[in-house]
Amino acid sequence: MKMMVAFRLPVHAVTAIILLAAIRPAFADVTIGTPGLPPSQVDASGDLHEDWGVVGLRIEQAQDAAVTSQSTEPSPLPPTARSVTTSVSAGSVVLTSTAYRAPIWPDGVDVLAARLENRGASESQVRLKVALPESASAGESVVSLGGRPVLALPKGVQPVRRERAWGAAGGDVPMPGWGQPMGECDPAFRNIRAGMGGVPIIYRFAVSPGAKRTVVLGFCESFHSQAGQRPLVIYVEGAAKAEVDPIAAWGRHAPGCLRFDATDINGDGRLQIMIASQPQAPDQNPILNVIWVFPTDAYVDTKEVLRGTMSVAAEYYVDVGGEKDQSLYEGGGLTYELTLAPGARQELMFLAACPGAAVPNPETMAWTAESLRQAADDVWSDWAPREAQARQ
Amino acid sequence: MPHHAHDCDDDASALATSPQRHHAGCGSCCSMSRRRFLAQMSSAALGAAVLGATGRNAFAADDLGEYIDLASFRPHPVARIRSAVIRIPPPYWLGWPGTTYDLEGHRKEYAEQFAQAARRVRVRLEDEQKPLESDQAVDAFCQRIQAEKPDATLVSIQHMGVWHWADRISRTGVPTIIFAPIGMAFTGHVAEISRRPGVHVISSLEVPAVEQAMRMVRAKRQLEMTRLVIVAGTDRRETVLERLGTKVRYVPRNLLHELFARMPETDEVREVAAQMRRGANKVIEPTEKDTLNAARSYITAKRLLRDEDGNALTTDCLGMVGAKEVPTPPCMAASIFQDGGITYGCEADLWAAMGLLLTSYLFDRPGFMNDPVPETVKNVLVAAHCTCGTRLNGFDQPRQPYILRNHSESKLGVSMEVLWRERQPVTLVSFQGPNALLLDTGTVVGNVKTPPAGGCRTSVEINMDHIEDARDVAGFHQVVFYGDHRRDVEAFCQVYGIRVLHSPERAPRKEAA
Repeated sequence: MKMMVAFRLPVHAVTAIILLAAIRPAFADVTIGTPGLPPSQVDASGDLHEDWGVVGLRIEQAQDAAVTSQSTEPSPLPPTARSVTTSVSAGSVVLTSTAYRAPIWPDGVDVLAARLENRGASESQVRLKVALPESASAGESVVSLGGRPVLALPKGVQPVRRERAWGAAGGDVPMPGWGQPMGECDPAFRNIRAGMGGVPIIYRFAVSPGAKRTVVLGFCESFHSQAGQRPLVIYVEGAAKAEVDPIAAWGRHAPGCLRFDATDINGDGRLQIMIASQPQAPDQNPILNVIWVFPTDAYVDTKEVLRGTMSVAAEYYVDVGGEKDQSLYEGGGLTYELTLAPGARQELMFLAACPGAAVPNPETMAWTAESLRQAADDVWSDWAPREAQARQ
Repeated sequence: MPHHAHDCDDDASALATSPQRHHAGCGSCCSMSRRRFLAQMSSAALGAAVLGATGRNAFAADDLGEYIDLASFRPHPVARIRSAVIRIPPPYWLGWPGTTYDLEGHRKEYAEQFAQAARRVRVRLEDEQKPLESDQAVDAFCQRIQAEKPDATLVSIQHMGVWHWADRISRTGVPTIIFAPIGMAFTGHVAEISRRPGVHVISSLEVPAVEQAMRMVRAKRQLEMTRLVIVAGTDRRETVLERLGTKVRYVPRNLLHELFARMPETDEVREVAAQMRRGANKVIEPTEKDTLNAARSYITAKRLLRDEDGNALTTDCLGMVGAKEVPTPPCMAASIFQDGGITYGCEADLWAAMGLLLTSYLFDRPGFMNDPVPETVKNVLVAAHCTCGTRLNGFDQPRQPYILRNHSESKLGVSMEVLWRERQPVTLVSFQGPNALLLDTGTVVGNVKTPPAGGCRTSVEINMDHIEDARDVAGFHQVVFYGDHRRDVEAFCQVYGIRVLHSPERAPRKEAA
């Protein structure tokens, strides 16, 4: 089955499209899925409709951008097993996006593979916009929505994004209410961010280039009861690397604070804090509860900081994973600025969370475009005959 | 699969020791009459009888009593390894390995040993006809393997001055095994490359290490070809594991106990039950009816696995026992499966089952999935569960002694008390998701009796290596197996990008922050 549709066309093309529509059936949303798990939809423009919102790829600035074709792959497999390929032309640049469900453990992921191709004779500047819900929050490699990682970004290419004064820059996950701190302490100890799968937690704070600050970090381990399970490595810019095992240091559910003398060593006007898992730690998911950044002339008593009485005096006070926590990058869509030589191609692979699921971290995952496709083919080729048999 | 004479031995004992999938249409050697099966059952060793040697279609397809060859579930991939010798053009003058080194003699000798190892492991070794002796030859080899994408390359070094070529080959993205007999490397040559992901360096005269490396390549392909069936819950779905490539199919739990309820008491059931009783050192609690039910559970599991096109399974056994849906837990069935090279895990624990698969494919022996219990007086770990394979030395090796017991938690059916050999080194593995593996080693120091102990029937005391306090052994449902294979497991993990973790060596001490 192959259906052609026109979409978002310039005015001068309307007549042609009306004719086209008259001879072809209207294009309906296509369902893609994994055996036994809820499906997703691909619409006429190639956008993926998930339970968390819609993700789509657009070529910006091109006045004549238009969908030129959409097709599902011819295959004996069930309709949900097929991939949907949508092509958009904008001048000499063609964007071809292919969406399909890869049945990766545990809950699958929707693959949105984009190929940009310059078919012209001269170099072309392309702005590829990734349309996302306004409340989406993008880290370096993962976009989250309400704490759920919903979109894994392509490796090796960075989008252009505007930064806020402070925020989380990693692919970590906010987990409000995870902590169960005992005793009198700052309420922010109840929330955390976690770097699931070994992703470091990274925060950056705007300071004047080369500035010094006093940084206090708060931790509270509320999962493990044994020491040695989740030792953490702490990198505060300008301070010596430190390690802490919250259980060994303070015990389970016991909040604790560590103080650092920080300096913007590289002079980029950003003070960076990173929490990583100790490489040999059985639990590779680093956690962080609270950050306080104080001016160097402020008197800082870590016991008082822990109790929460000094939060008002902090230049930055971050309830990590709490309501007022934020991404370093402004929300909404992302834009990639790419330069394509004549005849050149650029491929970008996005992974979108399918219903009820989260995306794997692209920084640590072993999945490749090839192995994802292979997984889909393997599972469906075995599953389809069973489905066919069941229908008989 | 090509038909090799040694692949389809008619002798049941031989099949028991080398479980493999029989090829389609091999009517002359793989199928066997029911009468002949029973004749063999009465005369062959227990394991052989249990594994059998018939094809899938000995009886009618809709017959629940149809004989199914357990060995047919084990994947037999054709793992391809491209092999090359790299060296500078001879003759040599000074420099290692030295002018006295019998270059051609050793090349032929190793080539023959590698070929024999490949036959034993059942991998396809594709040799470069001539040694690679120039940049151009190495580049051409790299291009070929990048195009052909074999499962691995095996590079034999014959001069100390060619490590840069080994490095180049290892960067093609194809898993690389480098064999450097003593005399081909100083520590500085191997310190970095031998720790690089995707590479396994054997700087040694121990040729069996090359055979183990081949087994490693085969094991990865076996994992990729495996569909693990998880019998739990009410839904049916299928996914694929990252990095390992194993397909995971979840099927509703009721399939198994409903199938069990319909499973007749066949000749095979009676024979399996009788053999298991005869092979036991003692039968303490189970009645004959219990062992018949346990044998029905074995036949049921085979049938379910075949119906689901699976290669391994793990079931929500405790759930079924707890709901009183079955008169016996599947412990005896799981033991027979494990001895036949087919993973049958407990409690629908995916990662424990993956540990069992790893042990089975990488070392050709069963692992023991267990609960970790602290023994604080002797400072040992007690690994305890109610099922365990008995061919702990290898699928083709004699059994460890076992006693048939009931399932201690429920007082139902048949469970296995397998007696582990004291002073036996063991390895413990536990997948922490697809990208990390806990790895520890120890030595068996005893078997715990139930009673006086509570818990599970097979209960093994292990003195842990490198771990100050046995309470700190990390993980749950670890898989324990015979042999100190720490370095072999590390090699597998390094080649395939799995991070290795160990239990903490030092007991925690309260530290000032």
